[in-house]
Amino acid sequence: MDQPIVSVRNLNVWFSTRSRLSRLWRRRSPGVIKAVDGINFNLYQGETLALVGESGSGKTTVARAMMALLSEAEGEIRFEGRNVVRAGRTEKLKLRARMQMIFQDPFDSMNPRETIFKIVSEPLAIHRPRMPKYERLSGAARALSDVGLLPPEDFLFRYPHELSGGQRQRVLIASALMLNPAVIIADEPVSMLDASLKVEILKLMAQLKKEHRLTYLLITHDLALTRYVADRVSIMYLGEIMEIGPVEQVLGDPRHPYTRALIKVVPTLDAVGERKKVLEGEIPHASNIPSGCRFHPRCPVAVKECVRQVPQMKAVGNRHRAACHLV
Amino acid sequence: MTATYVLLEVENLNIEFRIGSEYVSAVRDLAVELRPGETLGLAGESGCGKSTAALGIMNLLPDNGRIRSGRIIFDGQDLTKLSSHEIRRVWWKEMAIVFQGALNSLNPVKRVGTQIAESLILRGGLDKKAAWRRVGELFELIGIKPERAYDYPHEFSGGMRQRAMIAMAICLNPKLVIADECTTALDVMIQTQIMNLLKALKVQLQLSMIFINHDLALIAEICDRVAIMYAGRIVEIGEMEDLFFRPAHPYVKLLLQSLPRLKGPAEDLVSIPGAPPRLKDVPMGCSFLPRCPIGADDCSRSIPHLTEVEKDHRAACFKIEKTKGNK
Repeated sequence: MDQPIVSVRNLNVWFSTRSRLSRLWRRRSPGVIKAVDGINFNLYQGETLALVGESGSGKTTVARAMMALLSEAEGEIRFEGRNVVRAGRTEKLKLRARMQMIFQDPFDSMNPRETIFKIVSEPLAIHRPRMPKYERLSGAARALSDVGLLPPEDFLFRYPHELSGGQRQRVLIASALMLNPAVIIADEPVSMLDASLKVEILKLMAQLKKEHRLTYLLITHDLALTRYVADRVSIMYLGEIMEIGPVEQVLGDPRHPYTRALIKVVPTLDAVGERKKVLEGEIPHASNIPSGCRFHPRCPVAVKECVRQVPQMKAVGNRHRAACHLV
Repeated sequence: MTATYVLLEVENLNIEFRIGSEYVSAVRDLAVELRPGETLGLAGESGCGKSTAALGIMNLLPDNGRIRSGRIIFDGQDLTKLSSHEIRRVWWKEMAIVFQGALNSLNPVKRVGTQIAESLILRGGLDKKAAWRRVGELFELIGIKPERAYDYPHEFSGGMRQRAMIAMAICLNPKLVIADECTTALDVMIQTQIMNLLKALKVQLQLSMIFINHDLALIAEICDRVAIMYAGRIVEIGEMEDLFFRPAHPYVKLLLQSLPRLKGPAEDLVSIPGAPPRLKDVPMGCSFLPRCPIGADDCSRSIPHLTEVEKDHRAACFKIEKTKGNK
């Protein structure tokens, strides 16, 4: 558990918004959108790290950078001896076989005109083009039974629309497992599903993690869920990590005011009837990041220092760190 | 039953959809009452018929849907007997609906304020000046600066668009607002803001509301009474506290155990085995039987009716009737 399988150092993903068109309009374009701004974290072998934040916090951008899908990424993402950020074409291909991604929407991420077999075995078609079809077929069947779609022959030649939302999500997981990856990045894998189905898919993911010795990076906005599935949680705000640590510590003893605010608004049955204090306004645009601590305009406890000085990550407990002047 | 005035009374509502050549029931024998100022929650897994019920009450069913039988008495008149011309006078003025996808419900090429003003002029009979004055008031009410009324929908964030939709729904002071998954596509922080807004409006304007959501935690937050639906039928209905703290139906019990909590032991979440039935082949008798942990063979003989478990709290399960009979 102490061996980082992925280590992210000073990761920046800055998108430029200057285009010829905007110059033509003489509009002042914001210039640079800092979607991810100097992030550091480790993903340890065998753990589940949850990346939590509002939309616009950059959590999906981190995932896409890790999958080498963004040419704008700068910094270092070390995975199995390579720097993902600087990987060339063939290296990227190899890397994506070892690190797979599961997306949120089981409806949009499948071609409706392809059979389940084709969808599940697509990674094989790309990465092992010479594999004979019968081998691909048995591989796909095995993957489907791994994710509980039994018997697999019943599913192989059906189309996505014949499957329920939960079954489709299982198909996507099966497809991600096809190449025996070491790391699975799951981007809101259950946020479209009903409560009971959510639990079912998360249980399946936990079981697969054990069987296939996987490491998970779980992207979610549901803080309450992290308690049940994650070992550590990292709270992102506007492209930066605000707090990171073991789940029980971060949720039980949150140190950053943003984490505290997030916990307060989680809808659960524990807090029925309580009046929810909610942060005013919305997350600022990443083209216009506030000075000092980027959370200060919405922070309920901000002091003068927060406007001027960027807070550094400080240890606040065992493996628990937070970036706030007041901790 | 108390003799208080009932704003909406739905009696044995049956809604069906034509699929191919056959009709499929989506809502079966729905019966609910809503008193003025009350908020009724309608919850259940996707496909349980909660949205269809709402559309049926509004008489907004798509072309292949129809009300097979039942009565919808709203403010003294039976909506099922109105012509499409007459129903238009009820829409927006008497009852309004807020949908999930706020982006799709606003016209992208018209200023947000214009869209609300148009509704005020056309349906409310206001002149242009009065309409815009009212738009300003409404924006104040929903917590957006009145000058933003001149913005186009794309200049609004998701949360603001949803606020604008709420403004449009309440602009003609309807007696009933139906909120159909109105927070689903939003972030937790924005979701809480919208929930707080609805709660405030509920008190300020004495709104009667039907609040439809798949998230039971949100239902618990805002509703006075709650109805849980399964396969087109209400399986349990009662006061919010009674239902959430003393659930009677096995389905509702399991559903509540599948919700993640922030406090208390992080014991395993429960998932309900199996999936809800397809509307085409709802099982005989109790439709929850195939997934029910306490179901017995005789549950398939007939359909369980809602029976009282305590005052104003009814559930449709044979097992409850028996235990009650033994006492």
